[in-house]
Amino acid sequence: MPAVDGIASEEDLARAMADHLECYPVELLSFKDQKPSIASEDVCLATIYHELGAKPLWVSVDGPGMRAEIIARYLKYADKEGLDPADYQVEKIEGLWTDPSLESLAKLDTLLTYNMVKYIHDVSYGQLKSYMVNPELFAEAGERGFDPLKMVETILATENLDEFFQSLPPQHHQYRGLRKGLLHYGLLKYSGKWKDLSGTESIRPGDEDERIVEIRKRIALLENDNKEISKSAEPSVYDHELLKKVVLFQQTHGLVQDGIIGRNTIQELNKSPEDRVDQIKINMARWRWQDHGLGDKYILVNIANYSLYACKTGELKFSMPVIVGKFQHQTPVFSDKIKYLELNPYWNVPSSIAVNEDLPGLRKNPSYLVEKNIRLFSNWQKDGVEIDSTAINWKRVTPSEMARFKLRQDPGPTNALGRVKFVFPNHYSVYLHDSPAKRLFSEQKRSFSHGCIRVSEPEKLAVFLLDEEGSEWNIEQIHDLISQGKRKVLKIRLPVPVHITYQTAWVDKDDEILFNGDVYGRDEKLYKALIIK
Amino acid sequence: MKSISSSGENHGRKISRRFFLLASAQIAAAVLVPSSVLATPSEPKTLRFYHTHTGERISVDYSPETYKGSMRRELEYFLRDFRTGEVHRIDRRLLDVLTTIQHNCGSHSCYEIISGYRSAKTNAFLRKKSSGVAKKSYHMQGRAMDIRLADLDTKVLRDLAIKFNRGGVGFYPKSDFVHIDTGRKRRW
Repeated sequence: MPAVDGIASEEDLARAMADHLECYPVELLSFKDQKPSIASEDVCLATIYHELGAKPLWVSVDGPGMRAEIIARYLKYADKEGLDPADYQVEKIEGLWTDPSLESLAKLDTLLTYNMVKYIHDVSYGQLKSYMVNPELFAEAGERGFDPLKMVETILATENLDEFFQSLPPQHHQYRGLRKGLLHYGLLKYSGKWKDLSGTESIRPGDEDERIVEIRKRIALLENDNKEISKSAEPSVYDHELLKKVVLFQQTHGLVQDGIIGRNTIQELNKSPEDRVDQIKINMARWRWQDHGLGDKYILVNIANYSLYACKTGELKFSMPVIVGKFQHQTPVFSDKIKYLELNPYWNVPSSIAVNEDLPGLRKNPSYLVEKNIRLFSNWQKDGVEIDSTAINWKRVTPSEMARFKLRQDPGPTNALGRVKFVFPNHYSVYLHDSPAKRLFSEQKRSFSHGCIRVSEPEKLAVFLLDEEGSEWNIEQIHDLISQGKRKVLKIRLPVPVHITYQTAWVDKDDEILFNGDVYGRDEKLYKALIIK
Repeated sequence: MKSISSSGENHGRKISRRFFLLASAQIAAAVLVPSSVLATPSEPKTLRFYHTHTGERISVDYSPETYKGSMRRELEYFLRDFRTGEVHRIDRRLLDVLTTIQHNCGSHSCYEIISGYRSAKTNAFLRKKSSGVAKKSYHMQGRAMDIRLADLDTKVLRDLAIKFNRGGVGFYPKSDFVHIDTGRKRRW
C-alpha cells in the first residue's frame, strides 16, 4: 500500500467504479432466468448500477460514509436475528474498510450494495436459500418478486437508516422473545462436553442413579443457578428439590409433567445449548416467512405444540388445547382472517374421506352412513337428489364413482365438526371447529385430524371473536343458539386475523422461552437447508 | 375439507409484509430530498491528541461530516506507524467512540495515543518482544487505537469504552492504557 495516500478526486473514484463494474456487464440482464435476481450477485449489481449510474453509493475518496457504517453494522450483527454474518461477506467488507485504493473503494461499494439488499430481503421475507434447496418444501421462504433496485432507491431516500433497519424484522412479541432466547442460550457456558446421557431405565423420585449428578448440572445451567451443584448432600439421589425442577423442565419442553425422567425427558436433556440456539434460529426463520405484524386482536395456532392462543392488544387472553393434522395430513401454515362462524354446522364429507374411509365401511356395513347421521346425495350440485344409502350394492361402487356422491352429516351431537365451525375461506379447505371426541384433548400429542384444527373450547373462542365494542357476547348466548339445534351463521363484523404457525420454540406471556416436539419432523429439514454449510 | 397430503411447509398469503415494505418505500419517497439537506450535521467537537512516542500534538474539530480531505490526512499522518513512518487509512468509527466517551465523562484533557496504525513489519517486531501482541492485530488495518486520558482513571476509561464501543475493548493496567477496535465485540 502507498506510504502516503495520494490526493484522488471523486472523479477518479467514479472512473474506478466504472472499471470495476465492467465485471458486471449490462448484457447479464438479458440472461435473467426464473431465478430471483438477488440470488445472483452479478445480476443484482448489474441491475442496480446500470440504472443508478456507475458511481459509488456509499463510499467516497475519504472512505466509507455514515450510511456505509450503518449498513455494515447491521450486516455484522446479523446474528442477532439468527442469520449468519458470513452470508453477507462481512469479513470481506471489514477487510476493505480502511483500504484507500480506488479499486478497493469501488469493490467495497458493490459489496455493501449487494449484501445490504440481500440482508434486507432475508430479514423481511426469509432466506432464499431454503427455497433454493427445496422449492416445494419451503415454497414461501423469500419473496421472488423482491426488487433490489427499488430497495436501494428506498435506502438512498431514507433519512433515518437505523430506524428503517430496525423496522424490518417481525415486530411482534413472539419474534422478540425468540431474539432474547437466542442471546440467552448463546451465552450459556457449560463446563465439559455435553454428551448423551446413556441408559434406558427411567429414574423415579427417590431413586439413586449416577446420571442424576449430570442431570443436576444441566438443569442448574438452564436455570442459571450455579449454586445448585453444591447444595445436595447426596448428589446422585433424585430428591424432592430436583423433582420440582424436573417437572418445570418438562413443562417448558413439551413433555408430560410426571416427574419421571424417562426416555423423552432424557432425550430433551440431551439437547445442548448449541442445539437450542439452532432450534431458535430456525423458528425465527419461520416467522420471517409469515406476516410480520399479527394484528391487534388475533388468533395464533401453534401446530407443533397443539395449542391455540387468543391475543388482544398485545396481551394473551387465553389459550386452549387443539388437535391438528396427523403426519399424513399435515395442517398447513398460513395466515388469514376468520370471517364468520357456523353454529350447528353440517359436515360435507371430503371426497378423500368418503373414498378412503366411508366406502370400505359401507362395503362391510350397509348401515354405516345411517349410523353416523350421514345423508347421501347423487352429486355435489344443488339438484342432487337424496339416495337411500342402504339400498346400494357398495361392493360394485368404484372409488371414482364414490367421489361423485355428496355425503353430508346433519348437525347433532355426533357431527364431526361438533357444534361450532370457524370459517376463513382458503384454498387449503382448512378451518377451526369443535369436536365431539372431547377425550382426545387430554392426550399429550394431538395430531389426529385430516388437516383441520379441532378446538377444545369452541364457545369461549366464539365469544372472543364476536365480542367487540357495541356488540357484546357471552357464553350463555352461544349456548342458547346452539341448543336451538338449527344451523346458524354468525358474521364477524371485523374479521379477526388467524395465524397458523409451526413453532418448536416460542415464548409465553412472561417472555419465558419454551420448546416442544417436532411432530411433522420439519426442524431437521430446515436446519439442513439453513445452517449446515 | 380436502386432506393436505403434502409433507412440505405450505404457506399462504404475505399481503401484510408486501404492504409494509411498499408503504415504507412510499413514506421514504415522500421524503425524496437529498439527505445532506435534511440531515442535521452533528456539531463538531474538539478532539485533542498527544502521541506518547513522537511527542506530537494535534487538535481537530471533528464530526463525521468534517472528517475528510486535509483533516483526515493530517490525523492519519499523526496516527502513522511511528517506527516505520507508514501512513494508513484510519477507521472513522474510532473517532466517534472517542468523541462519545469524552462527551459522557466530562473530560477536558487530551487523548494520549500509545499506538495507532501499526504496519505488518512493526507488528511482527513487537510480537517477538511481547506475548500480548496479536498476530493479526486490528492495528494493522487502522481499526484500533491504544488510548488513555490524562484526567481520567484508566479503569473508568475502560468501562466507558465497553459501554460505548461496539467492537473490542482491552485493558492494560500495568501499561496504563485501553485498547479499542472496530472488530467484533470482545473484551479482555
